[in-house]
Amino acid sequence: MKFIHIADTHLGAMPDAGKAFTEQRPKELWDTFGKVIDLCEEEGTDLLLIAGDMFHRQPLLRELKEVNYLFSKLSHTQVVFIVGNHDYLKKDSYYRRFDWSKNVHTILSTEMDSVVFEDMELAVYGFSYDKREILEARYDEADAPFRYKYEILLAHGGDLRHIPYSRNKIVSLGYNYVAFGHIHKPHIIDERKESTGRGNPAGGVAAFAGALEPLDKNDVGEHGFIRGEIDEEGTRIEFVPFSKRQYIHGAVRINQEMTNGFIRDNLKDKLAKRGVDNLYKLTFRGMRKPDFYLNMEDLNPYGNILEIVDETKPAYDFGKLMEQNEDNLLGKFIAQFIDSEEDSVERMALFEGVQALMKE
Amino acid sequence: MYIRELYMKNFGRFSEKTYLIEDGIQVFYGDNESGKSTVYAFIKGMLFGIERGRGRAAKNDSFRQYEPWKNSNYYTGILRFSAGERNFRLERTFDKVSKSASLICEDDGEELSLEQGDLTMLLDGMTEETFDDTVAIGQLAVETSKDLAITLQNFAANFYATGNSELNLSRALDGLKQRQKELEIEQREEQASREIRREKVLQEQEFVERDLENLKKELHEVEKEKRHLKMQQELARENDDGEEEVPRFSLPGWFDKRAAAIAGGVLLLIVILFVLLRSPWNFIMLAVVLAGGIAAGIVLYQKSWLGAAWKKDSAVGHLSRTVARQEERFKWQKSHLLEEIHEKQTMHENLQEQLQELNESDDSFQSREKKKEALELASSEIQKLAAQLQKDFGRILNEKASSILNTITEGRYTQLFITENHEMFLITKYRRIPIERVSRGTIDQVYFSLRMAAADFLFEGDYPVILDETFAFYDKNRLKAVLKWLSECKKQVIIFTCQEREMEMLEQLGIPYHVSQVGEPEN
Repeated sequence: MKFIHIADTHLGAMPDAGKAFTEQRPKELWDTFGKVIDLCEEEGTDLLLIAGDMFHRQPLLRELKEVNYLFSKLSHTQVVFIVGNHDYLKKDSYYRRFDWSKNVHTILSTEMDSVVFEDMELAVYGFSYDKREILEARYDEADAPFRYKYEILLAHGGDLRHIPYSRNKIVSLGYNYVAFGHIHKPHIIDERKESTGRGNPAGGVAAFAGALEPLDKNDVGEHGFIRGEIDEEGTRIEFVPFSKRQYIHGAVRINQEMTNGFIRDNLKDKLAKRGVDNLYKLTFRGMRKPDFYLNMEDLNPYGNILEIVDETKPAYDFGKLMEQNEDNLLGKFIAQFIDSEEDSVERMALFEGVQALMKE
Repeated sequence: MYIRELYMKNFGRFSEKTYLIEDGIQVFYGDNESGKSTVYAFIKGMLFGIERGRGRAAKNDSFRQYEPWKNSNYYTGILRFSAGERNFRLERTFDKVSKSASLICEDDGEELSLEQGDLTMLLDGMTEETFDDTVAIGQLAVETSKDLAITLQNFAANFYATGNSELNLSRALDGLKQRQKELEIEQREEQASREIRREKVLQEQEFVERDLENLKKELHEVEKEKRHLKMQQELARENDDGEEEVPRFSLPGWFDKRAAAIAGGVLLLIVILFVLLRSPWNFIMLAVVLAGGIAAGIVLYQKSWLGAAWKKDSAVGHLSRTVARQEERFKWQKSHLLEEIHEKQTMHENLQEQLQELNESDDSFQSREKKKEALELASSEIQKLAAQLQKDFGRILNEKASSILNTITEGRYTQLFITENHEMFLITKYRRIPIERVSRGTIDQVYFSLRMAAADFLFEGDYPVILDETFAFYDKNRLKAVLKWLSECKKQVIIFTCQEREMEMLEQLGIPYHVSQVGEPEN
């Protein structure tokens, strides 16, 4: 049985994607979602699992129609999804009364429920959110029922306010696979020992598919889905990078010789190399000349930089300065703060004050 | 500390040149361009080293300025001095390749370490900056005499508040305020852009609300129409029930007059025929007529009732079919509208969520808040320290400077007075004179007094006072007074001058002094 596990597609979201891409970003979320469905068709995938937060907010009817149309094109693949904390089931949610294509199976119950595929000897278990938060660690107790040959748990959560889970328990529940959503960073938990089969409490396998497309400047790194296969021999999974864009946190180290022009050109080359389609948050570090300032407006040649953090520090030798000025204001000022911790407000005050006092 | 000997192996124009310096007053006498400034730079360079500037700043720095004219590989020299009854030999090499310095105690040959601050200790903690601020006194370098007063006031104000004339308190505080302002502007800009996003969402919400309003109105209309139709239908049914009785109780209208006449005629004919005809024919005729009449009556009655009933029946059928069609339409319209309304309501709620998220603060806001806090802290700390300095240092400095000024102006100016706004006044016996109104010479004297007071405050031991063309604007009496004051201080005094009046005055006062000729005498 071949499956693809996606999560957190957040259709309808409008992520900040810089000057260059913000406008087209909502459509890109749909495009990638569509591409996964095309891939299921192409590869003859048996099962498409969607582990919650398919939509960013409450889905509109027309949006469900769009999604259903995409699902309905699948000639072979069965689709199972649960609803997460973002698109949680409100009382009058369209999820509750939408007429899905016959290959689409929803688990909308808020108690553990299942979808059974007799031909595959498979049951998919799970439940949906009917509120924004669920604080109980409900998956920790959700042992596999062992009623079918193959059993999968479709889950959503994993942080403190959304069904916290314990890593050990999740992999010892006895499922062939636990398909998690909610945490945007893809992550595989594999505790299987070499010869342990299914149901060995010592270890199973679970994975966070991560957001299909990154949605926030902190969703760094690769994004995509989990592709897997379950049969007599066990469960095999792999993470497949699939997103159109990546958020990258980069550090730029400067030194006292660099000019704004040099930094700009250098940055341009580097961005071209890492990919102009990606989205960046850059942190500038290093020692700069005390009277040198980064020209921020000039540092976004491709419009794909979302944030610049300036952590450069003026190149002062505080110890020496303090010694040379022990009788005067500068020395006394440095003495107040020289023992402050790195990155503290006091440290920052030291830099700012010395810079102000030494300005000519 | 007393400077004993200068040996310039190679320094600027000088090569293998030695100057011995005696206790008391030493005069370096020479014309302009003879190299007095080079000697002055040498003393400073030996005491504090010469840092090479970088990049653009390097072009005119001291390192370049005094690079040896010949043999630039031996950019080096020796300064001998004594401190605390011991004699020292300080040797420095300035050139890029072999830059080095050594300090040896000549009495016992002990080698001291510059890195560990031995020299700084011997110098009583004097640094290049305090040297420039105190004991090395030139003239105030300014364009006009008005600038002079301002420069002196700044010097004093900074000195009082910061302990260093180069540290400008108000400029530093302004700088910090400026940074704060920049941050606030940034913050405002971001808030504005957030406000724009908010406005956009609000506008969208408004559109959705308007749509909702319209949809609800439409729904209302449909319901009204539906009710109307129902009423009509009921009315029609009621009418239907009433009309059913009509054909049974009323004969058609034409039956009345014409029918009465004809019926009368026919009845008369039957009576006549009944009288005229003989029995039994008259009875037969009567029976036939009666039978025919009854049959006709029955037919007539039947015909009129059935017709009406049929007519009514077909009308009712037509009506109910239209009603059903319309009902169907209304039903469809209503469910469609309800769906639309639900969709719009969902959109509205989603937009509401988006609004809430926009109100949450992000990390860039927090980092800016932190920076603002740091600026606030720096600013308040600087103000606190400056106030303290002014109290501790400024007050004593002012007392000392006033006393020196009193002496060297021979009692004309008894006190120096600086207001909180850094305005400076000189106090005579009779009045208070703003510093802008006194002569250039007097300003130089105030400057001198301040520096001497500061040196006295900062350095405990003896130190040489280096005077570079300091007395050019002093009149005879004041020159006399200042030289007298200096000789009474028992300090080592090094005077650089291109005039002979200092020497003449010393001669006149009977103060011993030594002269070193710099450069070749012109004649």
